[in-house]
Amino acid sequence: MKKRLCILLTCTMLLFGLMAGCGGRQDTAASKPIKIGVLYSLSGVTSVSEKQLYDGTKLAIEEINRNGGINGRKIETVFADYASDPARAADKARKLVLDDKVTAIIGTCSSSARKAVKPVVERYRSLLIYPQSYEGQEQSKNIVYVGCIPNQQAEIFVNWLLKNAGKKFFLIGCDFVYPKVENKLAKTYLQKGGGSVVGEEYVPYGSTDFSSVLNKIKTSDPDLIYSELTGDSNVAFYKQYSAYGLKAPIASLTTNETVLKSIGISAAKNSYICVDYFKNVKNPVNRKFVETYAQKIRDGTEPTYAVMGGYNGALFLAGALKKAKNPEDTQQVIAAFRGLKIDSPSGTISIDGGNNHTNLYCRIGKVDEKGEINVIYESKNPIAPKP
Amino acid sequence: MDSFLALLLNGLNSSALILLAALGMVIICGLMNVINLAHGELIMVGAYTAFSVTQVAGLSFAVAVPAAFVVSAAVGAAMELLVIRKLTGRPAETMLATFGISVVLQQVTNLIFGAQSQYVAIPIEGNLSAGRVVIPYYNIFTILFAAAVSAGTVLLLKKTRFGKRVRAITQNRTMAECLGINSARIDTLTFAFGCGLAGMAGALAAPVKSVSPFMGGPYLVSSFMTSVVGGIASFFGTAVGSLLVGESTALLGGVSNDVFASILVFLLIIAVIRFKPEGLFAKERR
Repeated sequence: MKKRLCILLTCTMLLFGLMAGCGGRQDTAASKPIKIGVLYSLSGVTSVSEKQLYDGTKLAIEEINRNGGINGRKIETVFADYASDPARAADKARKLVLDDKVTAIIGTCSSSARKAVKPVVERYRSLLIYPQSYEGQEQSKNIVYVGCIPNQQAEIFVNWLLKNAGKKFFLIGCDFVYPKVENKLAKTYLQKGGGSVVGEEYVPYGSTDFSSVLNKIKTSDPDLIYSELTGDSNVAFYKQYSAYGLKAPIASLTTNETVLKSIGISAAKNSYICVDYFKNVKNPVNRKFVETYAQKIRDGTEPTYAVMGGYNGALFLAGALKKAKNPEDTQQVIAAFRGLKIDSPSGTISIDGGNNHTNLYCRIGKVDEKGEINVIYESKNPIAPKP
Repeated sequence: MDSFLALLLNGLNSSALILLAALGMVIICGLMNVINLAHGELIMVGAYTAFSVTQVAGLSFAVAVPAAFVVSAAVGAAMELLVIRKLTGRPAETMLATFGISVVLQQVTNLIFGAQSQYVAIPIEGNLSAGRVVIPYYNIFTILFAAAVSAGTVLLLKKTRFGKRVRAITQNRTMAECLGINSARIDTLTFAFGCGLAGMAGALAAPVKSVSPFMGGPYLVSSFMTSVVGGIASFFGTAVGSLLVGESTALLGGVSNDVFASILVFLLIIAVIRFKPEGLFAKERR
């Protein structure tokens, strides 16, 4: 009796299972989500910047999905955290492309992480959207670079400063590749523009002790401090510079609205920053973006150019996915980037099909008495990238 | 000459911060023989306490410094009670455990406050300038504060009953216990005191450096270097060590550049250890 009951129950379950399997799973190709890899560090040394990129990307993808996705199909993100370790970035990229079979990856921040992922996307014919501004001098068929490079940032900045702020520059940066390349370029721009370099100093990465550097600055009497310092070093420098009562304004390629909050108004006021996007850029798309950011991201941070990089990267990718006939064919998506234009909070910008970099506006901001960045210069048109 | 004096004074300020950070190390590593790899994170806890007290609660910096001591001491006491005391006499396990605690502290801070740097206002603005020599008032305050805390710690250990008990336990634990000293309680209090000193170092550094979850690493390295060079259990040695490290970094940085200077300072430290492994002013150990 018991045995018969068991057999009956098992058969019933199998029957139900079959019916469920055969029945109404409406998952046709037309509504299957498109898988995109998101590769950022939420822990470790670069997590401060990467959290901003991640916030921007997250906001963009939520918005895209809310507005109908890619021709009716939602974007499904597969997130991987590489903890600021370039070797792990390469591993995670490989996993995203081979195991999770994503169409493209948005991610990485530092040049070392990007350089580690580059051979992976090239070997497996995938696509990386790189959202951060960097030192240029690189190109790849499998990478789309959405951040600004020196000819869109440093060249214009140096020439503007020469005209409006002074001729004697003191260059300072942390001791790694990005500041060294930027300073080398700055020296060529200065030479062409009639400026001069009265000092060039590099501090160990992460160092917060600027006493000897400040002495050198005092002795060399510059008109401007041209800085690519990042992270803790950047914050400590502004504070100690102001405590020493030094007057020449600091001109930075890296400071942003969130960093300014930790520097404090008295140390940051009257300094200059040059990037492609500020929170205070005035256009209707940005006004809406800033409001959305304030509603959705409530952790004391502000929308910065890094957030915008993550956001633009996702917007461009969505545009390419919509344009491509088959959004799961990475090669078609790569081809769809050529000439792609979007209306971003940082203006109407487009991809330069020749070198996979982005035409971006250049903006210069000055920090006022209230700690806000006023946009005092904006290029009339987006600048074409020359990596 | 002016420039040299300026460098010397700057070095004094760096030395003061290094000394404050290393004092706790002397107590924990020198007196208690515990290698605490979470030392940098206790400094970070002190810095965040200063942030919370001054920026979030809006109180003055004068409240922030003792608050930093109390909070870091509390964290230290918890560490001692829950982890350190179970690993007495096992340095490798202690290092591993404290390393783990350091990672936990970093990530918890990251989760609560975010990874971005936090702002702590400098409590004393302005500077004293005479010709080419400029010294911010806050730097003078830091130097005086470091000297006072060092003197206070030495007095505590030499003149108070608590200090006598600590030294008794260090010299001969079994005998001290026979004489009725509650060594377990003194251990917790000593460890907490060392951590509290670290917290105060963090509070003092916060206005002129950066307050972020991962700020602790460099402080750990410099504290170890300084106390090992000076003699791990000697306060005088650590004071000399911090002067040595601070001034040489400033002077060498002044004549060449900071990266070269830090390399040279490390080489200098290695040379001292090579020829005098117990440090410059080592105390006789049993």
